[in-house]
Amino acid sequence: MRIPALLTLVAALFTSCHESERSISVSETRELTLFDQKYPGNIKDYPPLTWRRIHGTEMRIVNYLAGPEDSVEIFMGISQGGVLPNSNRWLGQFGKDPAADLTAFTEIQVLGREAYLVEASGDLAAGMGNPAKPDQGLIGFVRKSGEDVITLKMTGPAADVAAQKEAFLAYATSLEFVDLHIIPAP
Amino acid sequence: MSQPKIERSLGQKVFRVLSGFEIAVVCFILLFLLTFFGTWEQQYLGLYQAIDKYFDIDSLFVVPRNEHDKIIFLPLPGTYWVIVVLSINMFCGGIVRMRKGWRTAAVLVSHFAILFMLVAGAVSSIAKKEGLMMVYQGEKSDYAQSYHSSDIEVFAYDEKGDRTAPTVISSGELEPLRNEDTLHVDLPEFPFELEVTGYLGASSMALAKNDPERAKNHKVIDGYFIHEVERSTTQEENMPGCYVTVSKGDEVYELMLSNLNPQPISFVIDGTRYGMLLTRKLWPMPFEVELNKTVGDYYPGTRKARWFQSDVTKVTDGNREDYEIIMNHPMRHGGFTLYQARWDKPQGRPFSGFAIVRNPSDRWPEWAFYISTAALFTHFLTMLSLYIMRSTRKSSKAVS
Amino acid sequence: MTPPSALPNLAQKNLALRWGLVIFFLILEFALIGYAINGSRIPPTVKKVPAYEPWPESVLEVASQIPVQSGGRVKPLSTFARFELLQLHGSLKMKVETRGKTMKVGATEWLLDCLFRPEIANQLPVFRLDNSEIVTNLGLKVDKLRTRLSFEDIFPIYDKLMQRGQELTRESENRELEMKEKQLTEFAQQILSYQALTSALDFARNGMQIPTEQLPPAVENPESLQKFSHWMAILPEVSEAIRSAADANNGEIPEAMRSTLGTIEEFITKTRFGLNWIPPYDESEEWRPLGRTLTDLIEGKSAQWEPAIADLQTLEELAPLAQQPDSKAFLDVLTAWQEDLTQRSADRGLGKKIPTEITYYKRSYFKYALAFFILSFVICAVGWLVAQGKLGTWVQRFAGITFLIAVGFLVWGIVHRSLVTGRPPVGNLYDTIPFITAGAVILLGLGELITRRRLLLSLASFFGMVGLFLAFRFEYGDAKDHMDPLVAVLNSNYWLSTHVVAVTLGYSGGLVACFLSQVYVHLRLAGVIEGNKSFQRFVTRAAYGIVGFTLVFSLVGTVYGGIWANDSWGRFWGWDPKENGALLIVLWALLILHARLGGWLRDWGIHFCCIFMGMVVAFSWWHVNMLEVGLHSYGFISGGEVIWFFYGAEVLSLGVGLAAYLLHRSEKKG
Repeated sequence: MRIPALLTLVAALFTSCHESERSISVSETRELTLFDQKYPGNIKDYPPLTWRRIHGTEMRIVNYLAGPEDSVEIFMGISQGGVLPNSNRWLGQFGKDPAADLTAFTEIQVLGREAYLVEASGDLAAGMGNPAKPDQGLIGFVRKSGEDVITLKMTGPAADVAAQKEAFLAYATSLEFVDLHIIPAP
Repeated sequence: MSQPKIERSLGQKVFRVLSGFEIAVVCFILLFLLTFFGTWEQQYLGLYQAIDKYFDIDSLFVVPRNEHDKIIFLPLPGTYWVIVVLSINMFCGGIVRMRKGWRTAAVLVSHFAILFMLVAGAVSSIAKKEGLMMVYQGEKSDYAQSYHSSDIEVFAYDEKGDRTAPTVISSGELEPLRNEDTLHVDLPEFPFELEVTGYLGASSMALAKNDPERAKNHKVIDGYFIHEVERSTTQEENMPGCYVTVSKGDEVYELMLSNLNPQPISFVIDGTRYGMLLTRKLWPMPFEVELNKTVGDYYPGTRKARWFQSDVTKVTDGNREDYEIIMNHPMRHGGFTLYQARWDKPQGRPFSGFAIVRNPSDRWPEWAFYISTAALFTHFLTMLSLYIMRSTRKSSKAVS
Repeated sequence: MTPPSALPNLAQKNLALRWGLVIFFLILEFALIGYAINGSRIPPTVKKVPAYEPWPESVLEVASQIPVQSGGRVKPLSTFARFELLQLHGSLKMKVETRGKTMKVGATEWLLDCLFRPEIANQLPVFRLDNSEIVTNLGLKVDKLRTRLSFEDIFPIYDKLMQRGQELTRESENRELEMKEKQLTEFAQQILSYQALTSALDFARNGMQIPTEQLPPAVENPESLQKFSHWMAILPEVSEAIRSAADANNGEIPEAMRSTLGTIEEFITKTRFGLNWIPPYDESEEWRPLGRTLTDLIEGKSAQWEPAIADLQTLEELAPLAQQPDSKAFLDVLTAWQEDLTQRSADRGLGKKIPTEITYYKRSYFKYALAFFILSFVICAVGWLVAQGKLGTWVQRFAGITFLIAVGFLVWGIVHRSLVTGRPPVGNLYDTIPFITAGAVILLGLGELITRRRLLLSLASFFGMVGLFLAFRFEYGDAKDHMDPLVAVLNSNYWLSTHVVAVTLGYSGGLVACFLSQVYVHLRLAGVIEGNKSFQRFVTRAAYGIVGFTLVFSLVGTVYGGIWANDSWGRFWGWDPKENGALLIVLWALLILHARLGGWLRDWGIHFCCIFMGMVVAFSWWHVNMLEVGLHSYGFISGGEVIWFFYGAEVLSLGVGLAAYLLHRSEKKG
């Protein structure tokens, strides 16, 4: 009986050694690989230092917070539908009339082709689980990409969004396609 | 007349104990119990956790428990160490001390071969590395990732917006953490410190606005929170998550990491942008694998896999070599072995998952096996022939 | 056998106690096993089906040969029918009473009833229920817990049953269902599978059934409008006509057209499931039910209208003729249909083994083997009671001959099965059973040849009986076609013929040693070999020798499996339950060997350990598959509570051994 009891005690001692607070020092690094050069949607971005990247989702492949108290949100998505319907949907969120065609929007060059800048401000209607909000602003672009569209949308309090417009435009026009993991054509 | 007592030195006594049948028998009993309980517990722990508990080199003692965590047997020594003892016993008793002669030659050889196999296993457990490389057709990759261990990686972005070599907080430091534990991490290469809290080995990430009731009981960061989910017995399905506090002086960032999010989150300290993510442990390869074509075939009308094949080009320092990797026919080259482990075609885009293994003792068991098989069969047939000859002699004696 | 008078006195006095104990233990052991097996049986019921016309043999022979694609391969219709019936019914025959006579309805007949005479099929008690509470809870009155019901029997609760099944299927995505709920969803699924068969030829049997007054006037051949194939042939014109009529009617399709359109849609839906007996019209490999091919045609994904219409027309010709199954016309059309499908199948290089597969099942090798093993065992048992001498020798010879015939059927069956599947004899769990049985009986047979003690022959016959009985129970219980192709990772004839064969021979050895030791302890308890040291030594040596055999094959097989795993999964050993199970056998055999060499195990110890080895083999062979963990996922099985009864029986055997040992020790001291 002594031996099993001793074994049990030893086992108990071993299994009870758990520290709830520990300190470690880490300097081990690893080599860079293609993993570090893979970007969502194969789009590499260059955000301003004042923008903070947070978690994305399936709908928001890139997601930033900016402005005072992180009041401004900037997110990129790849979705279906045409450029005009998506642009008009954004306008509709602010109660604006839909545009008849794309000439109603400013054209900018994003990722090597034309994209259309949408700007709106006012009362934002409720939607996507969010309540209605007054005095909001939106700046975004919609760019055709094959059968889909690439969208980049910045929303938040109108004044904060306006303050980020320059940074937004610089960010949008700096985007580039990077697909280092694609086998180059011979 | 009684035999005179043989005086043995301490070394001889120790050798006699180490080489005796007693140790062999005790080891076999222990291994039997450990293998049985290690198998039984897989039902509720899952393969990975049961292996970790019973068979890992770090496991000194094991206490078998049932699914309700109640102890069901006495503590047992860890399997790895029992095998070490058995190996010593096999060497001392099964090779050194064993009588040498034609009757025992085959057994000697098979003991040697089995010992070689055990050594191969020991080398494998220490030196083996494995991971999974997922590649879409038409793409290439130069890294593999662990099936179930996740690291926190911290890195700085350079002025071109590219990541610099990440500092890795290993899964070995994270996995023992309980939800209420705190891990202070000093990063000499960085101007800030980290504190990891609220670690969950199996978690999910949710938007607070979509699940406000549950969010009330969890820390919400940037509109997201992590919560515990039931641990799957398939370890690959368990996604860890944790909270991280980054601090430098008065500057404090509260961040949340989840293995479900493959992209890094970022923060700025002293004018430098840093990124952080929780991802499956990365294993950089010394080569690139280009997946030129991959074919997967199912038996018609079923989802039963019939044939998986990948045509790849391995690029090492500019040298290009073409290979075919087929199920049951891996590619072996330069100490690495690539196996066709996964295949699928989501939305018409075929991809392959290659299991990559680097194991110095990869072929040792095979060589040991052929030697031991020949030896065992020889011994068995010898014994059988002797038995038949004895039986024949007895019956012919009885007749005469 | 030593007569009781030669036994020591104390042993003589204890003889009654010994025999009492043996009988007590044997009753318990057989009761356990009997309960386990019989508990799951449902006594056959004879259903009254008035006016059941049996299908002629000639029709069955032709129908059997129709190629069907199922489970990833092309097989005979008779095989498809066999396993469909086993899944629903749990047995290969149904008994019906018609016109005062009892007759059996087999699988092929049943399938033909489903296709051509669903009104008869609906009366057959095809659905096996192990827990009739799932239907009584919905308001159906059923007498027994385990029973068989016909579609007609369950029809009163059909809607409720299917609705509840759908609800539970949706709920199963969010929570774990309870046992009864799982049984209900499985039952609902079975009913759907059944209906897919009974409604597959509705279009051919019933036709469009358009009322005469709705038929357009001045049509040359109005009967043709009652044919579904005709409407398929003119579908583009029909679609145009419907569009024009709708345009002229404020967008609404006229009532008469709606009804016809509804019937067309109904027939396409009904033919979307069921039997895959029509080879594709293009290069693709997947055989699909007619309804899905028609949908592709309608959606423009295929342009093969002509062959599809031709097949519809053939079936429309065939179905009505089936009402006279004896008629030459039906046989002729069926034969033409079968020959056409066979040719189309052969053009793709498929279905070549259909004739040999039909022969395999017809020959029922394992049934004959079982019968001869039983006969051999009975003769051996007679031989125990007959004194050695001329009569004894002849009895022994007769036992040997019947044994050899049994082994011949068993081996022939395994070989034929291998030829049909085109792979080594063991590819899945079912295959292991006849193979392990063959390995064990041959091992014991060879042992009998060498030792000539009669014991091993008796044991071999008994083993053969038990093994084949288990094979039938598993085949019926699992109800899956075990000849279907193997998953990619297993698809290697080299590894199947080396690793798998070696491991299963190891299982054979382990079970043989176990059974031999069980015989030993029972004989010792009964006191019949107490004075016969030579016999005791012989049995002990035999058991020990078989442990050696088990070790060699289990070790070789296990390591070989590791090498295979290394080539497939990148690791030699993963502590997977299946691997661990094999390792347990190796460890136990090593333990016996080394403990004996060390002097701690003698005769009693060896036999106790061998009995325990039987449990280890059962754990490795069966129980690990029930854990549903690990990479060897292709072998997972559910249920199998029977294994606990086996463990119980083995524990009882150990009890027998312990009782014998204690009695022996007390007698020695006395």
